[in-house]
This record gives sequence, structure tokens and C-alpha cells, in this order.
Amino acid sequence: MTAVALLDARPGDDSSQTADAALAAAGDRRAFERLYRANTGRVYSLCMRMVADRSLAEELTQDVFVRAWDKLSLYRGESAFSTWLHRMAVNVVLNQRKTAGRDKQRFGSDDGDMDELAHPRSDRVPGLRLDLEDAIAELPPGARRIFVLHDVEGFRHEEIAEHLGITAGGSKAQLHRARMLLREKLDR
Amino acid sequence: MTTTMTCAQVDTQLAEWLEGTLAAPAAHAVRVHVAGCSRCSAALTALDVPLGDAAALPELQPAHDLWAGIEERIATPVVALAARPAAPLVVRRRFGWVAQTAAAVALVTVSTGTTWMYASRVLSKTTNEIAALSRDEIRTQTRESIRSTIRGTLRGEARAVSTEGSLPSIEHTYDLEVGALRDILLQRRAELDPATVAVLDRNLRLIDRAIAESREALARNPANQVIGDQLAVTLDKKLQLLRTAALLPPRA
Repeated sequence: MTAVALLDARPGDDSSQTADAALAAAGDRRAFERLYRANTGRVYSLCMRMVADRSLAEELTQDVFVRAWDKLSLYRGESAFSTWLHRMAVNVVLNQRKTAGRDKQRFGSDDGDMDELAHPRSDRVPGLRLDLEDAIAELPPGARRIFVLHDVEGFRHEEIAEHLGITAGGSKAQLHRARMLLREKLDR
Repeated sequence: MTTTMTCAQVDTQLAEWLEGTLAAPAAHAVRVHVAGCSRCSAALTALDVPLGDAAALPELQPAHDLWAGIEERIATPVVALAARPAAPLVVRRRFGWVAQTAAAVALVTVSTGTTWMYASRVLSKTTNEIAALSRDEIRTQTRESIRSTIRGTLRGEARAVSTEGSLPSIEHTYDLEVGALRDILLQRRAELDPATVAVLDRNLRLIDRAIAESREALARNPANQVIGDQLAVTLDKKLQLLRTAALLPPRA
């Protein structure tokens, strides 16, 4: 089953969201707020698991909804609103990755120092066994993105490859690397 | 004839094999090897099975409601440079930017004051309270108002306003904000961890260099939106860093 099929099957994404999308496209902010309330958890979950940074995930979640608002006129109701929004969320997160890559090129390796300074990982307790969520967050970024897209979100390798601009084989290799690392972390 | 594979060769083929995309002869060779190799057999079993809990992970929720920030942003859409009318509507456009600039000045000024206030509060709190306060408040303050303000207004338009001389430019206001934060940092320098201060200084130098480069590039090509965006992001980074630094807990 593809990610799209999985998403379409989700409960709660019914005609009311399509109706709200139409109202929101006409400028109704209350309707858009309802769409936000119905979908924010899914969007935030995707962002959080992809970037493993709470603050950045919140910012990206906002970016997703602002972008959705700007693009609502393009939503034709051919797929569930949550599907449309989810694809947009993936794009926003992956575009952020490209922007961050450009920033890193500018600022060099010291960017890591700055990130650590801005987001100290003080909530981690040394010696405590990791749960899956924590283990995912600790994966290297490339492996984490592909693991989340494939094993959590249900995308196929071909879809992931298209999004990330890599080959399907590269996606598979990264996925297996991610799984191996996760098993090591979880078995610790 | 069956080609025999080594464990190392199997390792390189496993991913393709698991997905069923390996060519038949190679797939057969992998199968033969795995059947007789306990090490590869165990590795295969581990890798082939998705982590069962992954697809059923619960939805996460942000620590606070993000709607207010979204509503603020969708209420003040940024007009693309290419979409704006040209010369005949100069007066109308100017009023638009006057209003936007005034809003931006207010935002930045308020945020400066808020930072001062936070810094004062920080100095009277315990270390743990400070750490919690910093994360939450940096998140809500810096990323919301400053980023949208700078991004939305610095794209070349601030230059137009400043040269007209009718209002302080965004860059000028930004400089004031940075100056205020630098003063806070200067006052607190002695109480911060020297290693942290060293990291801060190094990053500030890098950011300043990037800002200078972006400004030079923008001066050569004022209509380049990418450079404008880059400058906005870099200025934003500097503000974030200074704000973070201003709110850092004192060393133990």
C-alpha cells in the first residue's frame, strides 16, 4: 500500500475537510483553523521525526500551514485534504534541508556549535534505555529522513527517491542502514 | 553454475535482494550463501523486518498551540516582488511599505524590550528555571516576530524607505536591536562559561562575515531575491544567536 493510499484511508479526513478547504480558499480563516486543528498532529509528527528538533519542527509546521493557505486555490479536492497537506509537509521539510545545507556551506562546521547552543539536549538522561522515538531522533539525518518516510509514513522507495533526488537503491541502502542502527540502539 | 559469494559481497547486495530487485543469478547466489551462513542469515532476518512499532508510532503534538503564529502570518501575506505593480503606482506602493515598515519597527522594538525584560528576569532565577525559560521564550519570540519581520521587509524594500528618509530603515532598527543585545551580552560576559563565550565569538564573526558578503552582493545586484533572502536568514541567525546568548544561564 502506498503512502497516498494509507493516508486516504485515515479516519477523520472526510468531506468536511474538503468543504473547509473550499471555504478557506475563499478566505475563511475559521475554516482554515479547523483544518489546522484536524491535521496539526500529523504534520508536526512528520516534521519532528524528520528533523529531530522540537523548535525547528514547530517552525516547519507553521511553514506548512502558511504555505497551504497560500496554495489553497490549487487544491482541487481530487485527493483527501490531509493527503495534499502531507505531501506539502514533506516538500517543506525537504526544502528546509536544502536551505540548511546552503547555510551550512556558508557558516562551515561551526554551525553545529551554534545549533547545540540554541537547542541543548539537556532532556536526555545518560544510561537510560532509548525508546524508538528517541532512537529515531538519534539517527544520522539522511538515514532518519528515509526511515521516517518509508517505515513511519509509508512512502515507497521510488517516491522517496523522487523527493530526495536520489536513486531508489540509495533509499533502500539508507533504510537498511537506519534499521540496523536502530536495532543496535534499541538492543543496547 | 552457481557463483559463490563472500559475506562482504552479500552485505553489498542485501538491500537490493530484500527489495526483490536483484538480478536472478545474483539473487540466487545470495540465497545460497545466506542458507549456509549463520551470520548473514541473522543479519538478513534483522534487516528484513521493519521495526514493527514504527508505523504505529503515536501522533506527536507541539508543546504549544501554533495557530496564533500561523494566523498572524496568513493575515499579512508577503507580495512577491515580481507580482507588484511597477512605476505608475508609486504612491500606493510607498504607503504600503510605510505601513509595513512601521509594523516591523514596532515588532522589533517590542521584541528588544521583551528581551531586556527576559534578561532581567533571567538574572534572578535559578539555573534550571532559566534553562526552561530560555527554550520556550526564544522559540516564541525570536522565530515568530523577527523572522517574519525581516524576511518580509528586508527584500530590497527597506533600502527604498531608508533612502527616502521618512522613517528609520529596518536595517537601522535591526542594528539597534543587535546593539542592545550585544550590550546585554557584554554585561554578562564575565558570568558565562569562557568556552561558551569563545564559541559565541567565533560564530558571531562568521555571521558578520556572511552578512557583509550578502550586503556587498545585494549592493551589486539589488533586485536579486535570493541574496535578499540569504541576508534576511543571516540577520535572523545573528539575532537568534545573540538572544540565545543573552539568556544563557550563568556558569555554575
